[in-house]
Amino acid sequence: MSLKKSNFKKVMRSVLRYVVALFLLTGALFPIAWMLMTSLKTQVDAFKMPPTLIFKPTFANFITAFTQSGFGIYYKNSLTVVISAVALCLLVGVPAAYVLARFIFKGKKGLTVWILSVRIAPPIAFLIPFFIMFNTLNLLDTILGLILIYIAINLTMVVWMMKGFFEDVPREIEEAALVEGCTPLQVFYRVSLPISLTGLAATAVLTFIFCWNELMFAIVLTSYAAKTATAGIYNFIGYNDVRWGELCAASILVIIPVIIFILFVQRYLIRGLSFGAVK
Amino acid sequence: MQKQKRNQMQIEERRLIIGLLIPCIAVLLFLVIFPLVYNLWLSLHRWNLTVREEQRFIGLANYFKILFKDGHFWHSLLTTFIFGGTALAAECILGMSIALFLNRDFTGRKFIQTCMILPMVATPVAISYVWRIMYNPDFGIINYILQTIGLPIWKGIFGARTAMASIVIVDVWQWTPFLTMIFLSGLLALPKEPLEAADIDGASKIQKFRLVTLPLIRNLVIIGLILRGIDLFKTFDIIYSLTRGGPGTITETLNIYIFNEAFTHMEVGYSSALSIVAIIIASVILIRVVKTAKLA
Repeated sequence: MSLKKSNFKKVMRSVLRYVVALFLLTGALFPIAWMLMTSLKTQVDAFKMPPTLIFKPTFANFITAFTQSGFGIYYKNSLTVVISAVALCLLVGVPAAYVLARFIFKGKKGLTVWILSVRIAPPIAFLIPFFIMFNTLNLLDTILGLILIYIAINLTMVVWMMKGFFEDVPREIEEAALVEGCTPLQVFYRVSLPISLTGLAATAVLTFIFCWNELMFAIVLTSYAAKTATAGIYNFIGYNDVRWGELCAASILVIIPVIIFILFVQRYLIRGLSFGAVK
Repeated sequence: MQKQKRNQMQIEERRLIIGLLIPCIAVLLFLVIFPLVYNLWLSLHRWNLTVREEQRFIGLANYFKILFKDGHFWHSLLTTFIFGGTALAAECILGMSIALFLNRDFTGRKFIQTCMILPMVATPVAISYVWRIMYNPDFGIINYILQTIGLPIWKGIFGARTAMASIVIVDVWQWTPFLTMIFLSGLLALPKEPLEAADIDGASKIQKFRLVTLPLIRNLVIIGLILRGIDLFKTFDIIYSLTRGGPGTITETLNIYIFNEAFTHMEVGYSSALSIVAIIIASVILIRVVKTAKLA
């Protein structure tokens, strides 16, 4: 094949590659972009056929969603619940993960199996008993109740992820610290923990994302006082009308934190989702 | 003297282990194990929250009803498998194709990878509503495009024959990147020699993929499919937000069915039994798959 022909093929390949890349980009981002556009449209523009790409943007939807429809409260609830749940999960789970990573003891395998089996169980199996328990304990529609249940469903993931990160800490450094005269506890919070700080941050962010996006427990266990943002999205769907503009505005507000956060820890996303199976 | 020091170290270690582990075990006990046990207890009773009578112990009667007298259960199980199977197949094929595409380095690859991650973390309920808007027969963009090309209106979540496809599409959109990234990590870690040897032997692209690449990443592919399969079995958010299981019960998967039994009909005893059965089914399938796949 002459040089000109093979060059032409190369160029065509490149062009094709970028066309496919553009396809993928559009496919992945289009719904989110559409959400953004609809949130900036007035009610009239949102329903126009043919759908308008060029329109006069307005922030009215965001303002109405936050003030009139009470979405601001739901948002605040989400923040409170999720941040507390993440903090408590880390407080309880990180030390346990360290123990699982570093020490060998009886029953460790059983514990591991238990942690994995919680992953398989459909969340509804937890929701029913929790609903009744909370009903008896007056924890329904409370921030505390929701925090407890988010700890319940995320603790195993936190332990599992941090275990992986602690195992990555070189043993030599820990042993050197022990020789220097540190107690095992000091080795934990002075050596292993600082080294695993990125892993800790990643685990925290991932837990945040999973709690933030959670729907099922939120809609069942809350109604007025403790309603979270995800459950609150349903509020824009009335009996006769759906306030699409505000719905999209609220949706954008809901997904913005997680999108921003994931940009920082995207390296660890697959690791967290696959429960450490893929690094 | 040395032995004393070592023993002291061991005692301290012991204390550390217990001290660090106890809070976690306590939380797991109260918030995870106890609810599941309570769930089991509930499943042995007949209890409707709207009826004023106390719950009644009925032994395994709930389970008998599920297995032998509840067609609704079997229908929802079938629906779950239809949904899960279709979505998994689509995500697998699409995911592998995209992973193969991303296997070659080119400018902008990192950017595309970042953008592809976004669907996975976009809040499912929010994204479901955008898809509802796009699916809308009257003012949705999808039907607008179809009509301009001359195709008939696609009923989306409202059509009896299109409802399942609509929810599968949303799940595929959201979770294909998951399998893509897993497959990609496997492809990127492949050694170059086997592929080069195959090139020398004159293998075609398809042959190379089938006979060299695939066997080498087999384990990773299986793990990815298992993980995705488990999550598909548990999928609730997007189905609930898009169709609530409708029209009728066409998209009512097992989770939606249990949810409705528990929180619409308030039959907590029966729905507990259903959830236990769901766990058993998931575990049995998982064990079977892991055994047959013979993971290294």
